[in-house]
Amino acid sequence: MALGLLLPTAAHCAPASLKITQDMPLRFGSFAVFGTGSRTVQASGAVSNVNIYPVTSVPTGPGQFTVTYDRGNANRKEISIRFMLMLGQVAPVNQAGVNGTLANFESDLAGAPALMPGRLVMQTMPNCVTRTCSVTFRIGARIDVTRASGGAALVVPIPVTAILVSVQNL
Amino acid sequence: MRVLAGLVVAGLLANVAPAVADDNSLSTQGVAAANVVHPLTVRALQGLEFGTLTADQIRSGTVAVSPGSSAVQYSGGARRVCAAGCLSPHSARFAVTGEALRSYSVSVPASLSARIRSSANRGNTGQTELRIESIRLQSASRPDAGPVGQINFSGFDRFDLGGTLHVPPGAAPAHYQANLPVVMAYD
Repeated sequence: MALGLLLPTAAHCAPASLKITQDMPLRFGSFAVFGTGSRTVQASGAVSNVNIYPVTSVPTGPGQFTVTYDRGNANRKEISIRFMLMLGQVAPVNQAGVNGTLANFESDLAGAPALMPGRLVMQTMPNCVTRTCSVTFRIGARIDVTRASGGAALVVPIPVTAILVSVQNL
Repeated sequence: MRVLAGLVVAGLLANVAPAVADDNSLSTQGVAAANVVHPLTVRALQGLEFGTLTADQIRSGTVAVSPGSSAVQYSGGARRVCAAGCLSPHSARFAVTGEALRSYSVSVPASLSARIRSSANRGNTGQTELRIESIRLQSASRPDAGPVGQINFSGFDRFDLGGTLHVPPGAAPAHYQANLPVVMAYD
């Protein structure tokens, strides 16, 4: 009986939560390299190459992530959400004689143009008046490629963690 | 100020309450992707050769070499001659290596100038430059598609180049030669 009374309440007032999703992968596109080379895709989308022979038909672009805070209820009180972001360690990948290493991470987050793996970056979602509020940001990086033979489709995991710090009623 | 929740700053939050988030942190595994393709390389197997010919003193002529065949057409005042050890006309041939099944395109100049490389008669007074035009390409993979090709499963292709040599009247007897630049790129 008591459970039956509680369930409707729970349905209207879920636990508050923070989540982070990747909307778009960081796309370095397609290119050829003799020996070693690097391509940088900036958070703005700008691309620069060193010893790279581009294949122009394949699009490039920064990785895009969204951090979403769900207050768990329909309350419309204005809140400000503080959270921290942390880029995890990004390991090199090697496939079929092609080695790829990511470096020089950058973002378009306010106050965090450079991202260092393992370092926390504080961010704020101000003036949130809806059940869910979100922040979308982009990440760029440089990929250093060493090719011994052949070609390869490299996929480099980029672990990103969002940590809720505070929710402030305004 | 009411500060609510916080995994990292939990120690500061002993006296705060209501909208505490239950899930304080969450990680996602983003990815970066790069497709590193086998570089496109080209190697000349043989040059474009118009052979040994004679030029009329009055009429201009042409020699047309078709790509991918041994067909040669002479017109006007240009005629083939072949003494012992003469050069036979043939199209240029290039070997291509690259990423399997990937398409590529080739750019060649619309026309070229062939200049005298060596002359048997010093002090020639005739034309010392011959034009090569209508440069055409035929790949083994896509023979009817123009200046494009596709690398096969094994990572190879080849293409032939032909063109038309314009021989002005009274062209100086000599060995003419042109450099034929070829620019290739993946599509």
